[in-house]
Amino acid sequence: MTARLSGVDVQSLVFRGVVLAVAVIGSIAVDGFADVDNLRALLSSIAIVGIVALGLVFVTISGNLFILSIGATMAVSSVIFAALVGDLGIVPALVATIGAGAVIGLVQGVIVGRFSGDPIITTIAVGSVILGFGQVFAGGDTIRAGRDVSVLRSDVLDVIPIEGLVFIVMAVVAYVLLTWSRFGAFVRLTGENREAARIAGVPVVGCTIVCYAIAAAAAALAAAFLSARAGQGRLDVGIGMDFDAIAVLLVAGVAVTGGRGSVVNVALGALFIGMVANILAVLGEDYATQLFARGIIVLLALIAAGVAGRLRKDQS
Amino acid sequence: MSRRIRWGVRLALLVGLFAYFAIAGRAFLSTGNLYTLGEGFAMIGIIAIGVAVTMLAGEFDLSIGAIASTGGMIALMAGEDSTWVGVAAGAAFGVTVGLLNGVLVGYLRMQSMVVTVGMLVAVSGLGAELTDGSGEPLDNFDLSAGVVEAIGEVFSIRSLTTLAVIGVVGLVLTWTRIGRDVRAVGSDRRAAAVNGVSEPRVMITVFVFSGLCGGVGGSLLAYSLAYAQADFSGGLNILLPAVTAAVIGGVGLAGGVGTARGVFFGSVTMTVLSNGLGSVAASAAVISLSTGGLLLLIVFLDAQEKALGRRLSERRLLRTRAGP
Repeated sequence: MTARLSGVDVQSLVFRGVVLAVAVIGSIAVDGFADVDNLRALLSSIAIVGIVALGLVFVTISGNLFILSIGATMAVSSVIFAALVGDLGIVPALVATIGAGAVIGLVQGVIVGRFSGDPIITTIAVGSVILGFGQVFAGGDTIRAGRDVSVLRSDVLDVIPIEGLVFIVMAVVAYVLLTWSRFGAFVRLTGENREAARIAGVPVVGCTIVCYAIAAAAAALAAAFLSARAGQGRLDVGIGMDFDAIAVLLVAGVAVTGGRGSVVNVALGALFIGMVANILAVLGEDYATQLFARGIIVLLALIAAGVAGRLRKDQS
Repeated sequence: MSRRIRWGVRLALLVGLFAYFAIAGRAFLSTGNLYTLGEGFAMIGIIAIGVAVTMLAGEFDLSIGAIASTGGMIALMAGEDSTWVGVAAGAAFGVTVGLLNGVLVGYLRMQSMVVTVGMLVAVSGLGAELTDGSGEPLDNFDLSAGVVEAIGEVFSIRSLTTLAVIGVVGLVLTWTRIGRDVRAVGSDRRAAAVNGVSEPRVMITVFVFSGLCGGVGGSLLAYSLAYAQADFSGGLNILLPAVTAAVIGGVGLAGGVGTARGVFFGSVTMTVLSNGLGSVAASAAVISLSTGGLLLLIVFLDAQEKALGRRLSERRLLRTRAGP
């Protein structure tokens, strides 16, 4: 047990060291990286994927790997937000969008938690169904936001982008929930050993359902921000978002078998991938190169996690 | 459900769809459309058999769709003058990625979902870089014409390749040692190890094979379209119908269960469904809803059956304990 814990700590320390190193080297060596305006853009760009990843981490820690319907959930949510905001106003529309996301997550949680559907195949299938509904709803068009939503892309107190603030608040809340609350303990136990948790009296089905609802609600919130950024809702909003968020979790080294995983590392993972992309952008590289760099980072993280896991097993 | 009933349901679904589209669809049964069906089957089938083999071994290759789209780009870049060179390059790419998947899963004992989803991100990133995020066109249209040329009116090199691959997999699974090993590892890992089956070897075999299927399928598709499109969905558009085909064909989600014959039937069913929906001019929404809904239904039935099996075996256990 000690060996395993120290193994995890070493992995986590190395990761944090690398993040710090990139931040320091970026500030010193890359002209324009440490500018206030660029840092603001950086925060705003990592906030969206960060919010999604912080939701997804609940599902992963509860032992159900990933969700592959995040892109579809975001697409539909962006359309819902744009369609509702004109009549309802910004805050009610936000609440309704997050609620719709929670319902989408809830359905998947029921299928996986109550009826033991395979988590990956279930969410791929649900993603396709949601997108179908979205196409019926939007009729293949973009939906214009019915009012001025620029407040959702403004800076709070002229300093910090609003989605960046939401991301930071969410990180704190997720940390507190998973580390100190009863619910967090339940989620960890469910992820560690579902059967043992059930016997110990943990409401595993309820836990699973809530985790899926949180993840999908977070995706819906992120989609509302994207919707506000573009001033419209579109079904191509979430394309690739599934893998953006999964890449963050893989790089952060969240145990994908469930049970453990650090919220701090997830937030740092989003920061890390965002920083690398941002530095490449400042250096004049295009989006394709940023994706390529991310691919290499994920590949290295995978190999490192594999080797570390093997060493841990050999130790114990 | 007994095996015979399962096959009955599957055949009824296929025949029902076929009959419906033959009556309702425009020109569904024309020679031209049968050829189109074959082309659709070529892609769904080769990806389905690749992913099915990993499922048989109790694992899952999420990266096969991304391998196919990036493999197609590599094929068109390497093989501007020769289809053989291009397909070989695409295949070599698929095998390389598959080998890496296999080593990480087999030797480093990582979960295949984790490894392959990471590989999906990496391979998609490579694809974006290769094409600068747009696409790779093939200027040599003669090569494309060779790939799409009809053989015996309704077949082509592509559909015949897929048929051959599925046939070979059927033979290998039934008659060879490695085929039995794959199934053994998929149904009971511990028992397989006790009987001397090398799990890492099985993992390398299945992931290299699925990488190969992705590489070859993607390359041939790219030649037939004379274009390889950058794919920002991580190949999910390719993966979804193929996985649905495999599970309709009776490949179990928990490993150890499934046949090449079943994958063939599942792929034909999925092809008929998507092509038929096109022939009755269904909207994109209907296509998404029906593919996703069908897959969801099967996941649900599969889980119910597993739960039923568990209850039955528990009851049997209780009876033995209470015995005379």
